[in-house]
Amino acid sequence: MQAGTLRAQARMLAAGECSARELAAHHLARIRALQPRLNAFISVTEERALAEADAADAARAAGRAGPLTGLPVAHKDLFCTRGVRTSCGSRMLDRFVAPYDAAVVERLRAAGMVMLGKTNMDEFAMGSSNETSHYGPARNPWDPERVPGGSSGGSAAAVAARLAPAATGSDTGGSIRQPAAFCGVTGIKPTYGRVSRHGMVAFASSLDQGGALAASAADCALLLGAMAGFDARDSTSAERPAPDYAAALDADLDGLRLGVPAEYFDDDGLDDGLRAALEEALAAWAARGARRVAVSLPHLALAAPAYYVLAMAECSSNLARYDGVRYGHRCADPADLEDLYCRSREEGFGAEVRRRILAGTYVLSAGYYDAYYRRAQRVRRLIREDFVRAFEAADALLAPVSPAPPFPLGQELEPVARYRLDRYTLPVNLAGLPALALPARPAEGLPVGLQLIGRDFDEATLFALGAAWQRDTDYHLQAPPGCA
Amino acid sequence: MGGAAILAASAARVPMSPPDSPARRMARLARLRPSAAELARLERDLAAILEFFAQLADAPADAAAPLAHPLELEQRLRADAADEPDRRAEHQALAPRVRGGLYRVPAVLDAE
Repeated sequence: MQAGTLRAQARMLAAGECSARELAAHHLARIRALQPRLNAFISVTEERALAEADAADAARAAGRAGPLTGLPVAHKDLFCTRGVRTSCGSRMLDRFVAPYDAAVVERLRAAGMVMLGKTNMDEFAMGSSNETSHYGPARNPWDPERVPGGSSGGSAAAVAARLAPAATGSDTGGSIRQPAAFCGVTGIKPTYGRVSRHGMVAFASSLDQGGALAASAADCALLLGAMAGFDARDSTSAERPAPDYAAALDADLDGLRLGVPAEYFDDDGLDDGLRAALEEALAAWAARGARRVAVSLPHLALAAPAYYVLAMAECSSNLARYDGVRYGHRCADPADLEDLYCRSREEGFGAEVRRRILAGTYVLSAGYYDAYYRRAQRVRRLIREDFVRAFEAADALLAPVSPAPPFPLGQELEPVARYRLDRYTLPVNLAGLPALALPARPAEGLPVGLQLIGRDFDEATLFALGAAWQRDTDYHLQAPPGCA
Repeated sequence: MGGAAILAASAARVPMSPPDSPARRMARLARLRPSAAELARLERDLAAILEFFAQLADAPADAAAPLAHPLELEQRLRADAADEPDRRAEHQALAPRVRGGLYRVPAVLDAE
């Protein structure tokens, strides 16, 4: 079976060319074959997938099928799934089985999607290479000696290798967009508040946002339409209905102003192949009537330190709940209560998570709060205002996703050097904006990603631009070696 | 002392090590218990991270109001009614040790 994109699979189901059960079985067989090479999944839920597929087939037979009914999906292992382990890539939650479903899981199940399993990720979503996972790194299907990106690396690898036509992800500083770019798939990071965070294990609550990865912008539009919308259980959920994203895919681009931020394009660290890919995309949109406009984000260089102050602070606060008492890892034979807390946390968290908790504790501690945490919040305001001004002149912005292509696994890099690699994606999270990562012309045989950044709640314009780019190119349809 | 001065001074202090180094104090506050070797590495990492953060000291941000949430969403109030079902048994089933409906931890006070 050549299953194709999510929308292609939807057409096959609607035309009766295959059943949901056959689609699920096809993907489960691919997972069995490629999991040893890619380690994209932490848990595979075969029995449940087949049962859900049978239910989807029954719904279709009864005339109750929606656009997503019977289509397979893999969930990042930080979305709680009732009855199925939610590990968050951590030893701390290795045996945690949530008593409820995350809102994202609930909505996609209600839409009739079939869960194949839970995907690998950096521990507690803290990392950009998948190497901090307790379960070992997922690998890049284009070159298994390279990282798939992170933290939603398992989701990106699964979609790229055709183990699933769609996967959920979360993006705190680039965790959907960077792995999408590294694996040659499309990823949508929605506006903060667009998708409910209920049941999504928290890393940095003012930055975290759930989203989706799939082959194309059209697929992501279909998924976001089902995931988005108000949820009273998330106090930061936006009270506005999700528009019909699929209807936006054919929007006319004539006269649309596409902003080119100087600070991104003039960055000395930007790889030449990436720069050429950006120019190629600009030319394609210009041919469809979009107008290139120069914009500036003058405080962009401050985004990385501001982001890491805030993300680490929120991480140290959010992860204080893991104390070995109510759930999660507990050390053996604690001598006293203090010993129970300290050893459970020391054993349960990996090195990167402990490092971030420590630094986050520092920036929140007495005497340093104003100098670091409060100051980073002030800088966050400057960055958000930069974007607001840029959007007075432009309808969307174009930027690279990562300064370089996927790097080799096991690369020795100091923590701060690693953090700086996220500098193109994290400004978007500080500002709460939506952004779409799209495959572009590969460089030296490795995937390359473009990033489109939109106004608050204007994912539709990003999908329109993305769909146009994907009508002009087939980068998003190219399969990694051995994965066609 | 202004924010920038505190920031610069604290970054400068970090490389100083035991007896009560910043990393050791933070580990205690965060309920972590690093080994001696890890503590040494954390000292170096924390110093590098604080140096990275020190760029913020020069940011022209004194007049900018702190932004806690990107969209400054207003907190909603919900109806003053119970809306969570009783799931005590389900939640306690996740706990490492429970007895008689109580979470078990080492005794804080002597039994006497």
